[in-house]
Amino acid sequence: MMSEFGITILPDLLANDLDLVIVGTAADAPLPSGDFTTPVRAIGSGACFTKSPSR
Amino acid sequence: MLHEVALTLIELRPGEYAKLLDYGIGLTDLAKGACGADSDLKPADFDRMRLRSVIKTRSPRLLAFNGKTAAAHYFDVPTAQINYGRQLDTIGRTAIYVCSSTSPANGRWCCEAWEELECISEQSRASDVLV
Repeated sequence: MMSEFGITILPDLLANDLDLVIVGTAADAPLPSGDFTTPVRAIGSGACFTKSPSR
Repeated sequence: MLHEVALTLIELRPGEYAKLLDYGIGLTDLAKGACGADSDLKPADFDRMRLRSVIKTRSPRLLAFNGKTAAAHYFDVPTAQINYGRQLDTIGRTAIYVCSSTSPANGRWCCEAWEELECISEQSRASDVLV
């Protein structure tokens, strides 16, 4: 799916009968370079790969 | 974070995200046609009916909102009315949880709801094995 920035937002990562589906708000904005390559940015819920720096 | 609360056995790198399916974990967003910071998104960007439809079709055991903002948009209530943990509402057979946002923008991270989710997920898998 193309975003307004002309960048591809990754599709859902889903299958039937999963234990858990994590739901974010939306994909993050692309980097200034236009890079939008990691699921951390291209699926909002992909932020679950990260740790909050405030911890 | 997923590995830290034992939802995955190993720490996956972002590029390995598709391996989450091997752990029975899927990913989606409430707004699939837009991107940007939550404050940049418009109310129309949030498609709760699409999420309900996807979850009803896929029928996972658990759904976890990664943060109160997504949950508040889904339930259409102010964020202040959202509490972490299990929600009364369900989507079909799918129980709904709200967990602390893993976004770096979240200055008040707490892992309790994620750890509770892992316990429930583990119990759910164990009960399947016993059946």
